[in-house]
Order: sequence, then structure tokens, then C-alpha cells
Amino acid sequence: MEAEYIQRARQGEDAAYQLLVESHREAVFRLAYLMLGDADDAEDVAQEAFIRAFRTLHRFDSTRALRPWLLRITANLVRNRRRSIGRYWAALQRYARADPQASLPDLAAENEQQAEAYALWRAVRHLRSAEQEVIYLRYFLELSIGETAETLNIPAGTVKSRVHRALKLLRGVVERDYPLLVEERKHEPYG
Amino acid sequence: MSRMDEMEQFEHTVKRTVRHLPYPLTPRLRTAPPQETARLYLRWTAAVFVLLASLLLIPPIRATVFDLLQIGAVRIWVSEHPPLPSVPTSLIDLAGETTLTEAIAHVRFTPRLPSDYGTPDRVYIQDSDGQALILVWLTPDAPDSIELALYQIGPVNAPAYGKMVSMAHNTEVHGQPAVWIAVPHLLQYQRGEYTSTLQTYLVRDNVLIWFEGGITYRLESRFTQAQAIAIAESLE
Repeated sequence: MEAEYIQRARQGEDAAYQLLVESHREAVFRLAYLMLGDADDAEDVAQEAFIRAFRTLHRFDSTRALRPWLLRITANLVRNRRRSIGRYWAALQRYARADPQASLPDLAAENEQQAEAYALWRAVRHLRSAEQEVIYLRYFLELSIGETAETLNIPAGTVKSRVHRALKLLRGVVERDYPLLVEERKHEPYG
Repeated sequence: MSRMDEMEQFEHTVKRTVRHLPYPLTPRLRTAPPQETARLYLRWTAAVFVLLASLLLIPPIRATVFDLLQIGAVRIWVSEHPPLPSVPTSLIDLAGETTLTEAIAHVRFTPRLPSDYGTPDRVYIQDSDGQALILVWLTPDAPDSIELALYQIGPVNAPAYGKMVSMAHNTEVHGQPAVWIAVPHLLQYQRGEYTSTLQTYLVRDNVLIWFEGGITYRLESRFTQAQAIAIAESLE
């Protein structure tokens, strides 16, 4: 079905393009937001991602899923944006790793669960960019291993090992800086 | 609990916890295809007819020995057997990388951008006098490859770039003389009147060169001639 809409969008049908944007704008915006930590910047990136995707839609293999391709474009745009501010971004990253909360928007949690989610996001931001990305895709956006591999353009096996390493590092950060996130859950059943 | 069980428990905690992250409201994005793109398609269609007409009227420039062309700051030698190196070099490795803001402040002319391309992904200044600007847009889904590279070269006393090609075609951009090259060739960058070669690239992409308002433009891409002309005529 999606392939049909892609084909119609390629032929210039506005409604088909609109449907594709509507289907994927949330995932695209959220990935940009997670990677950048700023809603306005994320909106700019999301808009740019769809403009670029439309421009190159004729090259997209419509037998594949569109979402990983859109997310790949989004991640590339975020990386380019970081690169364009060069040293400033590197300094910001060091600052963020030292104090992840400082680089995030004013996070007013409405309940304990939201507060825990914010704390986990802050913990993720201690990791390096490649590890952050795989955690965002796999757990925050709930992509499959295959979709994550396609988004990052790496083999599925590499995704598995990168996820494993990122989780191990994240666990270390959580146990050190946010111990309540894990201590309270130690005796809870899976579910 | 084993180490493996602990990791699975932690993974489970991560999955469950992040579901509660409250994201900002997803903004409404422009849902119509970019108008510039639509206009571009129309221009492409029109340009195809112009191209067909020009190909009928103007035979290709093909020299048995040598022809010499010059478009602004680019000098082109047409030869039957131009030299070609075996190893391509990449524009992405160019020296002089800067930001668009800094480039605008530095160059001694006003840079122009294709209407449908937004901010370039890479910006380079290749001449310390601020006369050669290179804007690069990467392929969105393959950031190691270049979708479009646009050179803008200010007024110079001597050719800054040299090319040796096996075939070139005359064409026009906004009614101004232009040259279209669609064969692999060498591009040599020279520092003004000293003509010392600083860098040589193997260009495998198609190239459109034109001269407009005192500025030499060189557009390198995988696009067809009609598409390249449409992009060239969209500069603003």
C-alpha cells in the first residue's frame, strides 16, 4: 500500500505525498528531538528531511519500508547540523556529557513515570552519539533490529552488538547517577 | 540473578520507562510537495525542448587536435585523448571548509543558492582572496556522496580552473553562453595568474559551466543537462 502512495507521490499527487508525511512525521520529528534536545531545531530538521526525501523520492526503492529511509535522512541532517557548528557542538557535547540535564529543555514531569523517563533520557545523553542513536531507534522509537539496521545503514549483527554495548554502558551510567531507576524495579516481574 | 538475566531485566526497564517520555506536540509540517520542486519540474520540461532544439542547431564541439573554450574563470581544452587518472578524489576532502555565514562575509560577491536546495551541507572557500566558493549538497540518504556541487568564482584576471575534455556542448543559461560536459575529465584548480596547479580532481559527474553577472558558475551533479540548466536558472 505504501509503495502505491510513493508511486503516486512521485507522479506529483499531493494527497499521496500528504499521506506519507502524515504517516511518518511523528517518528521523524521525535528522532530529531531526541538527538537535538530542542523542539524548534527538531521541527526545522523534520521539515528539511521531508523536503529532501521528496526531492529524491524517485531514487527510493519502493519495495522497502519508507520509515527507515526517512529516519536515515533525519539522522544525517542532525549530524550535518552538528557538524556545521563544529567546535561549538563538540564543546556542547562535552558539557552535555558532564551535565546532561543542562542541555535538555525545561523538563517538567507531570508524574513519577515521566520523571523516570526524563532521567533515562538524560542518562542516554552520557553515551557517545552512535550509542545514543541506536538506543533512540531501538527503544524510544521501538524499531526492529532490521529497521534499525536499515536506518543506520549497517548490518543487523552490528546493530545487535552496538545495542548490547550501548545498554551495558547505559546501565553503568544509570547505576552510578540514577540508581533509583533500577533499584526500585529489581523485584518487579517482567511484563 | 545471572549477568544475562540482569541485562534482560535492564533492557526491559529501558523499554518500559521510555514509553512515558512526553514529547512535544509533533508540529504540522508542510504537506504539499515543495512548490519550488514543482516549478522545477515545469522548468525541466521546458528546458528539454530548449535542449532538443539547441542540439539540432548546434553540433557538438569535438576537436581532432584541440579546441579552446573559456567561460569566465574556466578554461576548457577539448582533446580526443585527454589524460585521466585512475583514482578519483573527493570534493568532501577539500581544504578550506567553512560555514555559509562565514563564507558570505568573506567572499567578494553575493553567493546565490538554488531555490529548491536550502542550505548547503558543506561550504568551502578555495581562494584566500575570497573569489572561489564551493557549495556542496550531499545525497540525503547517502551522505558520503555528493548530489550537487556548485562553484561560484568571482572576477579573476586569469582562469582559475582548467579542464581537458573529450567532448563538450554549447548551451545557454538565462540566455548566457554555457558549456555542458558529460564525460569524465580532469579539473585543475589554479591560483590566479601564477597558474600553479594546486589540486587535480577526476570529475565523473556531469558539469554545466556558465558566466552570469561577472561570476563564473560551475554546477557538478548526476543530473541531465535539462535538469542542471533548470537548477542553474533557479539560483537566487
